[in-house]
Amino acid sequence: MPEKLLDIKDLNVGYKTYRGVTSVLYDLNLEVNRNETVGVIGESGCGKTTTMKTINQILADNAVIKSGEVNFRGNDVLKMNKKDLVKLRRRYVSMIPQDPTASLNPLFKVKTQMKDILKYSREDGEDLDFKEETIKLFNSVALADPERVYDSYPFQLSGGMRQRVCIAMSLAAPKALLIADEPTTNLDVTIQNQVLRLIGRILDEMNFSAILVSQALGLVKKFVDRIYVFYGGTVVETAITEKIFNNPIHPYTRGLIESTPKLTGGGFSEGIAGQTPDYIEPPSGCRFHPRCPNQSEECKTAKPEMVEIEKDHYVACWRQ
Amino acid sequence: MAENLIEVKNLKKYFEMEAGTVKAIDDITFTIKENEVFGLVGESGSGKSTTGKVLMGIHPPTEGEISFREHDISTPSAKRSKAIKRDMNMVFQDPGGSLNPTKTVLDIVGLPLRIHDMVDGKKEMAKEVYQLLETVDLDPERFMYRRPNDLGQGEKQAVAIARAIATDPSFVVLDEPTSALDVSIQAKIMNILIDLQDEYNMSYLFITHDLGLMRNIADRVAIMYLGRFFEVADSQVFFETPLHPYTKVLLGSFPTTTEEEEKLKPDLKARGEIPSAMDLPSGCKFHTRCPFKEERCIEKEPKLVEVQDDHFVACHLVHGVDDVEYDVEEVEQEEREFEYDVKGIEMRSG
Repeated sequence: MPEKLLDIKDLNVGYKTYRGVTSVLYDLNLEVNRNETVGVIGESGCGKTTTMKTINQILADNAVIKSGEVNFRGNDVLKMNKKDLVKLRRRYVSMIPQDPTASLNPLFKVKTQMKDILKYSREDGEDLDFKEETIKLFNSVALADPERVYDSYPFQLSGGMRQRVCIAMSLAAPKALLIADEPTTNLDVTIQNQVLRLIGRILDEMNFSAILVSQALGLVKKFVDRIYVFYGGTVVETAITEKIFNNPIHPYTRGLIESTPKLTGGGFSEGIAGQTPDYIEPPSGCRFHPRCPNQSEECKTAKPEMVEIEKDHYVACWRQ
Repeated sequence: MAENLIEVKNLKKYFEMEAGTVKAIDDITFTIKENEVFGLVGESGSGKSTTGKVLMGIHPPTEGEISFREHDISTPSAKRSKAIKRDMNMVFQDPGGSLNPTKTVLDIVGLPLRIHDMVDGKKEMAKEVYQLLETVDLDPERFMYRRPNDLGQGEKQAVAIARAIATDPSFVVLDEPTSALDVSIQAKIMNILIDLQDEYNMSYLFITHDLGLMRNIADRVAIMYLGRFFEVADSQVFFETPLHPYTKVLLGSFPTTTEEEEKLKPDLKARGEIPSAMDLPSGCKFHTRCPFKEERCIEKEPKLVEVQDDHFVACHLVHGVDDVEYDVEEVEQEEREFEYDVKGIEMRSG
């Protein structure tokens, strides 16, 4: 049995809004083993980022964790005190943000921001040679001209460089889990490819576990071992990468794969009708049923359980 | 032969900034035929959107000619005739930002109809808008009196498309119309666009950075880099037998989902980033990132040459040695220097 690093069980999270409390995450289950790279795919508003933010407890103030467990190395993150949480964020879980521009402080030079990270996330943080360490990190993320970057403000750098700085920050100390939340959405394909190759190489070298969150199926396919397909705040299908692409079962997974335009041509599929659900009054039963091409009465009444249809391939659908 | 709808000759668009001149478009020539989807791909900062905006008259060109069915339109949009403005339209990237949040869908889609005096009174406008919403697959009963805030991203973009086709144009610029949308909704919007183009015999200038999307809509594709065209070809040729290293790099970086696609992808990895348009590289503008660069690429900029039927490429390596136009004086100078060298050696050895 592979060792579990992260084990999320029946997690329910919502947000307080003026219309009432939403129900975003809905009995969500997710596991990450040691040295494994897991992909999370789904459309915008399906709860991907909320899940990631629950892992290291950086949810917005209006978020409500209703029930569930988030076990990280056997300890429930939801029950941790403040001191342990700080330690968790500094030493164990790091996050590569979606928008590098928004996550670097525009008022401070890169060197100041790197210094803070190194000082607090390393055991020996106080007596490090910050410049030397920073340049070393910049070299490891293949930043051209590290000396110049070191002495620059974020606005003086390009988008790709800023993202590399963010990656360097998340690697400042050895971590157990790296969460990359759509790390390349704002970048051009050529840069996207370079950044992901870099992340892939780092994962190989450092024996991290990682979660790669993305809407782009093609990206995820290349870099992860196992995939979770999210819809409406719950997992609808999970399997090792090959099986998701070769034998997708859930109608939503199929729809997603078919909707992705192909380089070989062949036109566009129908897409998936309808919209992501309203989380104030989410659909009853299977949350996908209003958009599902082959729904039945059963789908409207009860949430389908995860069923193992072949080895390591689980689907939550009444009609499969 | 289909007739040319739009002809662009030696178009240039420079922006004067405090820090220097940005050459957003630097001498491009192309045509868009009647009933054709002409695609423009490239990374951000390559000048794709500027090209669309110049055609629409949002920016006046710095130099060059643009004609629309043989009428000169290299003028700002204010100076164009109303008939031409009616015949050209644009759908923007951000569906939220391009719709007035205080107006209802009826007002938004009806506005071009009123401006061009195509409807007589509110009742007729409502009738027209009703039909337009049906063509873009929105239920008029539900959507006509809503405001943009009540709509999803895909619905907003459908409204923007309905507005663009309201005046029955022959040419529409689509500037990344689906990049803000989820893939499942993107597929639906793309199907609507393809059906409309067919039904109303429109031509599109389709701008996107997504090669997969481009493959499925464009008839002809041009790839742009720092204001220049690097390769122009029919869609199939462009994707199956690309010649320019930049095209290959871009295709090689595209994330794919199937085995067949993987086979099409050239095995070239991207290096570096697009340089600043304010400080352009010498010679071929791609040489800083090109895996095959040679001496001549740094020195001399390659021209866009037709290497096969309707397949244009701007690359020294593709043109081969024979096609490179040498600067005669430069060659003579080099030969003289060579002679010197030879003499020097002889003298020393003697």
